[in-house]
Amino acid sequence: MALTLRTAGIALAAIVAASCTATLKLAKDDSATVLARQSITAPNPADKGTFAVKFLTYGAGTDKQRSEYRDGVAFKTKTVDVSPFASIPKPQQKRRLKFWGFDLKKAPLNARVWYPDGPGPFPLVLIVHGNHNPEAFSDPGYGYLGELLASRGFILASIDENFINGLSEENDGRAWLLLKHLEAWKGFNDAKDNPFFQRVDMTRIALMGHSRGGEAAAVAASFNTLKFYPDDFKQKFNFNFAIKGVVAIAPVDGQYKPTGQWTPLENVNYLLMHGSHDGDVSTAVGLRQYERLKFTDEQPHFKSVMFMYRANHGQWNTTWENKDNGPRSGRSLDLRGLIDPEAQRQFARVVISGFLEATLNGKRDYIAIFRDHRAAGGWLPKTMYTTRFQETGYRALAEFGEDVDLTTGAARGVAIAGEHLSTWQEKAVPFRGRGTDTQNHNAAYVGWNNELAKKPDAPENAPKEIGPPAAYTVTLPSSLPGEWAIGANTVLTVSLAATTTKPGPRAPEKTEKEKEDEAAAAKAKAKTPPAKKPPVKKPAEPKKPKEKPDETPVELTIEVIDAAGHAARLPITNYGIARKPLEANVYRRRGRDTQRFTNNYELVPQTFLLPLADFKQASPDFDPSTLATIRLLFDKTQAGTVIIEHIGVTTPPAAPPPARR
Amino acid sequence: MVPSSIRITSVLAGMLVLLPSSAFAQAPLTAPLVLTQPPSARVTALGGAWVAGRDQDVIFFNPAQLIGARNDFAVSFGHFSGGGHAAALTSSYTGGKLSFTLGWGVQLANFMIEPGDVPPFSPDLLFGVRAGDAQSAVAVVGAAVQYKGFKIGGSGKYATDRTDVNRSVFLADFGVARSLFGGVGAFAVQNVSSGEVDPNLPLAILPKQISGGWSATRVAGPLDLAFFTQLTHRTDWTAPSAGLEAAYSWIEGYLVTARVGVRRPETESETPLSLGGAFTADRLTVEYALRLFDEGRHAHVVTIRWR
Repeated sequence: MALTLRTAGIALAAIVAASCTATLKLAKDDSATVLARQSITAPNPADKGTFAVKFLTYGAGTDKQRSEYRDGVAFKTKTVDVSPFASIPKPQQKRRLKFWGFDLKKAPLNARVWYPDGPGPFPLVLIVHGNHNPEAFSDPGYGYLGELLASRGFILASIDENFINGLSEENDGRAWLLLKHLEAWKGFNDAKDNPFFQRVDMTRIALMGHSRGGEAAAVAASFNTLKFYPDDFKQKFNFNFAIKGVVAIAPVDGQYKPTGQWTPLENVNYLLMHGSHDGDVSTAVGLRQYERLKFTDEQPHFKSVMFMYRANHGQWNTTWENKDNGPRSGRSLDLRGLIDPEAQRQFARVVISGFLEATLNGKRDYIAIFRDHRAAGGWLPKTMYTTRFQETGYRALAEFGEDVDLTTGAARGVAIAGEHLSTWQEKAVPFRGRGTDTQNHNAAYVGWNNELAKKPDAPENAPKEIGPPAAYTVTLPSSLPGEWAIGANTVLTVSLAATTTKPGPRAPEKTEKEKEDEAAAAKAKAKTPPAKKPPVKKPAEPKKPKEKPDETPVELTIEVIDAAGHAARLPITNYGIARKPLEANVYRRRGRDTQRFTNNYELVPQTFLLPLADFKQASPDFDPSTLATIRLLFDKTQAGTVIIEHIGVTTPPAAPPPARR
Repeated sequence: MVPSSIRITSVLAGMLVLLPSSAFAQAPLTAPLVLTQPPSARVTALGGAWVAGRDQDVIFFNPAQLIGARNDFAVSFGHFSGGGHAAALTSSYTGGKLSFTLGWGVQLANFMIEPGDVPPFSPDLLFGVRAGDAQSAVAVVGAAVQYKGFKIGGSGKYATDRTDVNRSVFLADFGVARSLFGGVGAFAVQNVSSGEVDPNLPLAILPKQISGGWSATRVAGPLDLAFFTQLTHRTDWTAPSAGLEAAYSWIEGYLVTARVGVRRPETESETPLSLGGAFTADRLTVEYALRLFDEGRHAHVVTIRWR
């Protein structure tokens, strides 16, 4: 009897456990085909370099908790007063002072440094962690990047900002501390008795940050050129370091808003990495910072988004690992779908190292990773990626936020037209998160169905009729190609995301006679009062089984036409994959994702870069320098909806003027 | 390493178990009877050590601890073998400055007496098979605020023992609590009355008492532990009590909890040990507790909480 009761109890517990846990749902993996080719011939940037790696720590030398920042420091740094930028709530002050032994007026400049064993000078990279349990130190978690980058000739300093973890509205403080570290590095490079004397190339600097640190890195790059702290003129700034790149790993955005505005950023290379299964910053809000970054100085900058399917928030840091909301978050977060932590970090090695090689060492071959990640297919862990890219020389033809006229483009004289479309509207690109938070810019929502609706008198088994393909057309004024120096080296740039929405079959085009007959019938109907019909009860329709969402990527053709009418067409699939949104459930509880998010996916448009030279090759009569029309021809996928975020052209500056710094 | 709070609780529990039998001498009888009875399954299972308690049932022990209590609505039912019944309702509301929290509760006990019996009644009557019907009840309303790290609370009670005649009294409780040694330290003065409102309930038999206690929560592997201790003193009676709660959640929103408590019992017939458990599914919690008495007698208490 006792045994039966026990068995029943265990069975009941198992049923309860199983019934409230959502089944693991992952989008169908296409990496075997998408990542099958590798076109970059340069060595893998994730491979260890030729330098022997050395390690040291520097800091105030008074740390109560960590010997590496107390007796273990190679050299000491002065403390700084970060209190104008961050504050500790009163109830926390005593405990924090007891734990750390200092307050924010005497904040230490502590860091772990991995550096190459050589005379240098080496480019300098700072990385800063984000918010986490302040007593579970986060700064050692980027050692895997330190080991790699130092072996490849970079100095990597992982900044200790644990002492401002757990605070709020402190991201300006995190940024300011990064810049104070750069000031300290300038001093190290200038001090004869410092191990880094004349070994740091202060003209090649990059800032990296994770989570809140990811925003802080961008804020620091923004502060870098200012004369005053935006929120208090009494804090004078005089940094002006040669920050060439910013890497934001799963960053937050808008936790600090200088003067109440979104952080502006310009003329710096930018890489955003974010995981689809981020259990902390579950909305890829860094996309807003990506969008805000502008290139205005004609220098060769680029920006890129690498959105990694099945990556989470914590696995980028070896001390954070997979429980994104604290040690107990395994109860709420579904960890089953996460990619192997080492694979996630391998991705970080490839793209971060590739980014730094391209931006600090001028190895521009590696930009190909960001233009089309398939070029590095052999280096990337087997999962799915969505990528965005833009570089200096990009000029927008259609960006959808400049006015409320659907038919006008972003540049003067550019006209937009739709043919056979089922839907055509412009609205904000949403985030996955709950509420009305958007990516802060508009896109065109374009839907089509090339199948013609059956006529009312058509027999049940009438064959499917397909009409002419729908199209979305951008027409350039004749003067524009000349003004923008569009030519064979120009790259057509299209960013779009496919959605799962499928409009129904479209009404067939009516002939003139059909239109006249219809008008006459309507007139006659208006004159005759309608006869009362007895109510007819419609038989209940049988319930349709729930359809599985169609995950097939959208295929379409890009057509370009020159002023003389020569057309050239290429399938977009040659330049990337327009996947349907990748389903990513973060929570374990059945229904929790639906409760917390508007969508169970993040809408990240894919950037397709189509060189006009390829069109010329496909159709030699086509003259890129008189480009007149760009048409998105929905001729491959019969029905669907895409969100078109940008259409533009990128023409690299003929000879970039020398950099100001 | 075993957390210090576990060690403290273990030592206290050991002391209670090893107390000589003389220590279980009956507490001096007090009235109204309901004032010495635990109101809910959780409090019962944890040995009544609730002066530093963490749910709204704390209104019966220390109004200061209302701050931070979840705004649940809880209803409890108790059954004593032999026929006695008990019930309680509690709820709280938080809002306004200084973490202002308002709480209220009602507790009832129904038991049998001999005709002509007058208070104070022995808790053993809850098991009685006797002729007359009697009730004991208390209604309490309290409030608390937080100031400079101290939680300060007060409550007013109306308590009554009803037989053929109503014997009622107005009482007040005062309490303070604050963070202490990684937990919460709490102190309360209970059942204070300004005068003899009812000649049948003279001040001498009211359970005027002071109590102090400490509670803490800790994480131990997959378990969430909570410890509760209390020392209560009233005239000619000092009673320690302690409780341990271990909760396990395998998925967000679902929780199973096991509880054990020890206390110096009010009567010789009750054993020091009490047991209990709970199951939580999102907003709903169902709790159960068992009190053990001699001669195979026992009391069951069930509480349903809705958040």
